[in-house]
Amino acid sequence: MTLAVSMRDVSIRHAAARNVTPSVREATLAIRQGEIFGLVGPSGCGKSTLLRVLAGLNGYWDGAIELLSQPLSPGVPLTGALRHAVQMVFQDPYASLHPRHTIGRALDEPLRLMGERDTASGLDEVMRLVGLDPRLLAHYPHQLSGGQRQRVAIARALLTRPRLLLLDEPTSALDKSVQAGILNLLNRLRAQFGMTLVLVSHDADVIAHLCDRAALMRAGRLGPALDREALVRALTNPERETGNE
Amino acid sequence: MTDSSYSLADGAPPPAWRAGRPRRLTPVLWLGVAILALLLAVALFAPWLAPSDPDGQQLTLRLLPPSSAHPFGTDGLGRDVLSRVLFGTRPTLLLISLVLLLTVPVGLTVGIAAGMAGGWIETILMRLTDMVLALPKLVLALAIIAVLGPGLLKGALALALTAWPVYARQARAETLVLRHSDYLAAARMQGIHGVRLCFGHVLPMCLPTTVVRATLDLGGMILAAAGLGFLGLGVPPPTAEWGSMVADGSAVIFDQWWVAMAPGGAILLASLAFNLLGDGLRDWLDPRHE
Amino acid sequence: MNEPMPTLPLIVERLTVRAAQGALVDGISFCHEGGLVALVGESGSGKTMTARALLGLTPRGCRVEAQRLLFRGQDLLAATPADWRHLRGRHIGLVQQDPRYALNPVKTVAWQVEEGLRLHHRHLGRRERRERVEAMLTAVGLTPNRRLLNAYPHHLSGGMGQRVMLAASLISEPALLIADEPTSALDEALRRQALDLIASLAEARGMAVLLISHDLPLVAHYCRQALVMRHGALLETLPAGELAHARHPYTQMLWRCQPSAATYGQQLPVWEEDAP
Repeated sequence: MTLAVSMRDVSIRHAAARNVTPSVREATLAIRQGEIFGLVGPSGCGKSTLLRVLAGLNGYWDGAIELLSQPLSPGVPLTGALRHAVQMVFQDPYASLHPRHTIGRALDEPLRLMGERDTASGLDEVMRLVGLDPRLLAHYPHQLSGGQRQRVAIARALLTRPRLLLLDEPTSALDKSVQAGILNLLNRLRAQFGMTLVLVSHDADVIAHLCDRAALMRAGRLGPALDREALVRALTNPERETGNE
Repeated sequence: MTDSSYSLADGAPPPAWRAGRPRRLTPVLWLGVAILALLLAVALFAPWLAPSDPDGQQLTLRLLPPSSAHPFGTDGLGRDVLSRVLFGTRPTLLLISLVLLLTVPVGLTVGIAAGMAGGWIETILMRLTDMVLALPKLVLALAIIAVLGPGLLKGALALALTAWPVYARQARAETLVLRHSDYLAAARMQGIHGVRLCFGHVLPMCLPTTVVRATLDLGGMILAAAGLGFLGLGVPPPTAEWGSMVADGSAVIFDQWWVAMAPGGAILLASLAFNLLGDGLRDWLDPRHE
Repeated sequence: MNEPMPTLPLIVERLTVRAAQGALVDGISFCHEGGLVALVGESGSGKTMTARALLGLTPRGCRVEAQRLLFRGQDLLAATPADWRHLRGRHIGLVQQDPRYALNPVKTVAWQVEEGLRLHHRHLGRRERRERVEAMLTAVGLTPNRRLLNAYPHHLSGGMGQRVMLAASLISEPALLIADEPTSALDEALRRQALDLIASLAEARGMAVLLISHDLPLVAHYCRQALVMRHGALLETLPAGELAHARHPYTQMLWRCQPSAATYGQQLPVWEEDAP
């Protein structure tokens, strides 16, 4: 089976500072294609930092990373086919959409960059794919609810037909009832397109609901990948309830 | 529960909003636009509006107080002040549009480029900005005019050369805040970068404050242009220009106040128009403003 | 709280908050009989606006109407701005969602916790105030050493910030605490801790708590009564323990949309909104 993500001894430092202790230390991980993989841990444990490295948004790391069998180098943003194959959905749908671009503008630009001339049908299609009314294309983000915005963010990530979708706490800013709809959507997208999903969350219930496998992370240390059974056991372990201040 | 694989549960547009509805102009913006339109109309139709030749000297009619024949009186050379104020709209508006066209794009480009690029590019651009910012405005303008010689275009250039750094500083400060925002990261994920990212994504966020800043500065620009005119370095005489008219009138301000009063009032009106415009535009540019 | 309360902490009858675009809260009625009562609903259901009305903090352009709005027998509808200033902080406390925004970033922990005393207990001396601050911080499970007292909000972790916020709102011993999503900025593990704390403090002080939350399992675990809101109206009122067996399909959906290990691979229920 081919791997979607393969990491060996990846350490991540904050920004350019050389002598700070790394925020993630020697993370080693293999994520298979087509699975939903979870990264669980309390806030500040470095899981989002790790995800941003995979997205090519943070170049301050060393070690070895391969995405979809292509090696990455530190400090080099993703380009070409890999750029299209790897997409990300951010935590806060209020902050990840440009406040002065209509939804249509936000979704149209990536399509045009990929060389599509007639984007109208593509926009309609992707809106319906994430369960949104295409009429919303003419609206601004602030006119939409949190759930709608997160659907738009997912739609934007789907435009390039990614094979690896990175999700940074995609539902933690949303109501539970809205979260349910987004989780359903993610499950459906995986089934429909056979994408690999990497989900970062502090919510054990969301991870347990969605993920085929997961790894626990604490204070910059990434644990081993757990299969379904081990993961449920680890997440329902009462020991995890103890505070971490 | 019903099948939710394709539900519009979350997807229907909020009924209260109709998309594409043109945003309504606020009264403040209206007033600003109205005054500016008036000024533009005056500039365009000055030859038809002016009761007499702005440069026509009649030394027998020196310093006449306002009357029905000369509503704003006459100046020291017997020229009709009303006509001169009307004609003076032209060089003044031309000058500030030139200054605007020269400063705002330069300032924004430098600021956004510095903010987005970071590293040594930022250092060089910002030190350059600081250098220009450190020079006293009017002195530098005087020096430039001394080299280039007086004239409308040269005056605008002189003012613009010292006016862009504030826009650069402000744009950079705003860009720095945006640089790590999620929506720019999201745009990068879509392969949007470079000029496209700067002008399509960062610029719209910097524009409102720049517009406000520019319109607030315009009042100052008019005064600075008037200052140059006052020193005899702006538009060469006898062309009617508000600044030089105020300068002429200030010699006789205690006895023949109308000579300075009329162009002064015009400067006030123009500054007011731009201030109102700036205030209104800021609200109007923000799509969240309801 | 030495003598029994002559009246209930809160009586709300047909409370309506009207804004230009319509009613944000639409004629809700309930009695708060003490203990923990929860106001649940999705965002936009009007639960936060209800809390704001109870604090006299509705935004400009909103009109608050009610048949009766009584806080311990005092008519809140007739409260003047001066009355509100006296009520807020002194008698009605507020804990907000996110300590990162609710705490003043340029003031120390000690200063922020003490503020309630400086405002509402002017007779206290400096030493007495400091003692109360330390006692309060201990009560919320923090160690009031010099380091904590002189810390600024950015030094604190999310859970500690939450505790400081709680201490600041409890210091003047309010009779009613309004907690607006006090745990949604916290990690799973810290949520229970924070609510354990609120529940035990409420019991120890005989304080009534109005908890605003969209987390139904949490509400069911800690609260006595749950008020379910939707579109500004009160959908149903039920004992919080029975949330799992609610009658109304909307409440059922709210309860069952909670993901867990048991729902792996299944569709979660979502509410089908009426077509617009």
